[in-house]
Amino acid sequence: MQKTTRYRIPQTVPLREIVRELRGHYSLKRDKKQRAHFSFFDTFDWRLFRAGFQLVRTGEWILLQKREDGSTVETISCQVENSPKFWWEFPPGDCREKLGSLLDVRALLKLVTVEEDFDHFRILNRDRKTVLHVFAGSVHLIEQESRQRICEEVRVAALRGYQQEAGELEKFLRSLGCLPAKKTILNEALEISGYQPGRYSSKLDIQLTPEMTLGQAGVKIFTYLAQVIRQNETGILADTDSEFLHDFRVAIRRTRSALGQIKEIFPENISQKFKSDFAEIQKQTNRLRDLDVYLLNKDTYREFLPEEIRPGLDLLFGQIARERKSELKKVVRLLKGNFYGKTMQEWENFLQTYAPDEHENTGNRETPVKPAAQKFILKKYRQVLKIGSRIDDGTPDSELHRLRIECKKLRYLLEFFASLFPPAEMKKLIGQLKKLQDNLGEFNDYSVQRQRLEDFWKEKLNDQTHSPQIAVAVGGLVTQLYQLQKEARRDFSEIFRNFSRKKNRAIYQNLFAAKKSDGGSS
Amino acid sequence: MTVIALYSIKGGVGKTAASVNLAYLAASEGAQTLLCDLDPQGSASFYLRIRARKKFSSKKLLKGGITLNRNIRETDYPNLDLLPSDMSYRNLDLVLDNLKKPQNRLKKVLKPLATDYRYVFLDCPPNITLASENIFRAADIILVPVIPTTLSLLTYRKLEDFFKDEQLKRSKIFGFFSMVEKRKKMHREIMAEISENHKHFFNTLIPYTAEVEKMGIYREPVAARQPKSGASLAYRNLWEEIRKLTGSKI
Repeated sequence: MQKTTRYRIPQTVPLREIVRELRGHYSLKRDKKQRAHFSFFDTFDWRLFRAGFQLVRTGEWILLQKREDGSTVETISCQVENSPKFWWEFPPGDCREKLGSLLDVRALLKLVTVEEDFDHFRILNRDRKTVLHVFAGSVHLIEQESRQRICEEVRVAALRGYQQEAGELEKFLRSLGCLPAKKTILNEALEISGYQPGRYSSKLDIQLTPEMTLGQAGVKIFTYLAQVIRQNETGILADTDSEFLHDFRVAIRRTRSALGQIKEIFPENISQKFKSDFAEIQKQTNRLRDLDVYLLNKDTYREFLPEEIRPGLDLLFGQIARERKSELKKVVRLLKGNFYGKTMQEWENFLQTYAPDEHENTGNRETPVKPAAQKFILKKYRQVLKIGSRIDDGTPDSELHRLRIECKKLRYLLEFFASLFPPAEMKKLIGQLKKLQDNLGEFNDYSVQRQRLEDFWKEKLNDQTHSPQIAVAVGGLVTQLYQLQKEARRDFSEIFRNFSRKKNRAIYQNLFAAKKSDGGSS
Repeated sequence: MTVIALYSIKGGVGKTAASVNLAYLAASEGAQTLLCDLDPQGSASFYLRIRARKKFSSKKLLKGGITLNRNIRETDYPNLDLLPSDMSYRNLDLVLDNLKKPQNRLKKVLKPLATDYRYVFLDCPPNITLASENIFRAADIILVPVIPTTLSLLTYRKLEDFFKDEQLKRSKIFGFFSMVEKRKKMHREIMAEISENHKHFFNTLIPYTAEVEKMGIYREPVAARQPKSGASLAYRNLWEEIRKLTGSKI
């Protein structure tokens, strides 16, 4: 059967009327009634939707469909027993492979379930040969106990070689007021249930305008970040996947960074209080994130080690998984507890009711946002150049660490204020900075993972359950991580030279150096 | 892709009935199957209720590619498509004659279909010509229905001789008994003789039945309309034997 075209029935005409009209014009043969449930899935940050895919489950079949201009151009399917949450829980095959690249570490969440109830007819030609399949029926949104009609449709699928007949039927359907459907069933169902596809993304999207004061822009940035923190709570509590905690922590880190860098828009005591409160929340989630990173790296770690010492690694990961369980409980207690609840509540209240003129020592609140942002960015950029240019092969690791922190601050500033500057150039700058950050990040990650593994092992030494097998595995990992760390350090100078070259410095100068024409610069 | 040709020098031996039913059975097992009705009489197309498009011709058939693809039609049975017959196929030899390297033309035309189809059945016109030589080269298996009569047997041997003369692979040829009437003494005797001397004959016999005769009235494969009838069972057994063969060969 060729592709199916959906026609929407006008609300004023009953479905049976359309079927009666069809019977009058065509030789119709009734086939089996078709009734089925379809559940649609995506990740919290809409990875499938963004890539133009949809994932549907009906019965024990899962269909992964690539969509273009509202129609399915490719379908891969697989049979499952339970509802797999992560790509690696799918049976081996095309479906699993494709989902691996689309979902990465994110979990699938059920979005909506619809019920389709269709009568199936065949349209026969003068030889009593089937030329078209026609389906007439309704689609309902199923939510717990309720059933809500989404639409009534006629669907037409031509047999191969009978496209002309399909064209004629389309003309006839149009004359009855049935027009090709514009939205997919998934989109309609999402709309009715209040979803906004693509709304959540872990990337910052803060729209500022040059007319804003720094105070207004600051409130907008902080409010956006507070929303991200809130949006990720449920996923952490339900332990849906590791990225909820990650995004939650990044939003907190960005908040803390912004409190330090967007200076003098809030009274000092307020900035200080929230800075330290958020630091405390961050601290209490550190361990869980570390453990998540280990578990996410499991396959990479396995690759590091020769076959014969891998069993020790499995034992180690068993222990890590157990510790993660108890650590998760702590984080759940934190999120449900007074301290976190109060901090967020107070923070949100403060942002909502913030009236700059009531406060003292808020000298920057009335400054126009753009020149202020330019000043912050340029200053931070110069600092990064200064630290970086002093680093050579003899510099202690701690300086690279410092540079990493300052780069992160610069990155956040560029992202907070990105909407004020030309997108193409900002994208370029962020891209360059990211390369440097990746190198520094690698260096740091290997170093931290190595140290933590050693610490973890030392703790377990007192533990009766420790095993020499684990010791061998940890030894192997530590060695490998140390080698990688050294490699990253070796690559640094080349990457930094690229980052600090004249051409790039000129872009910073051009975009962010104070210019008289911008006016209002304090 | 396995290309299976149903061929007979002699007409009226149950060739088309066999190709329609065998193609139907292959498709019903889930294999994408194409039946090419190369016989200008178009009986296979008639059984499946499909008429040729007006603008298709033997020239276009031999061009292959999109024009051929566009003329393929889906039958009423899952996984079974048909390339309908066309009156112009009676000129196939003339058209072929004007081409360079005409002997391998059909093989070339069918090759791209391998992405879409597991089996391609060819219902061939009854004669030995340039067109049939094309078919012999394009097919992996050549199925020859033989009515157990002296004359039929003679034409079967003629075919073997032709293969020998043209240095074609005789191992591709497989015979099966068609329109068998067991109450006829001659049928029984000839079958006994052949079974002894020919390895390349299938065990299954397709009986002469009214059900097969009525395919022209109902315009459906017997195996679809009366799956439990004797004729359907015979086709099913024959298909089993052929499938085993393709399994071991491809």
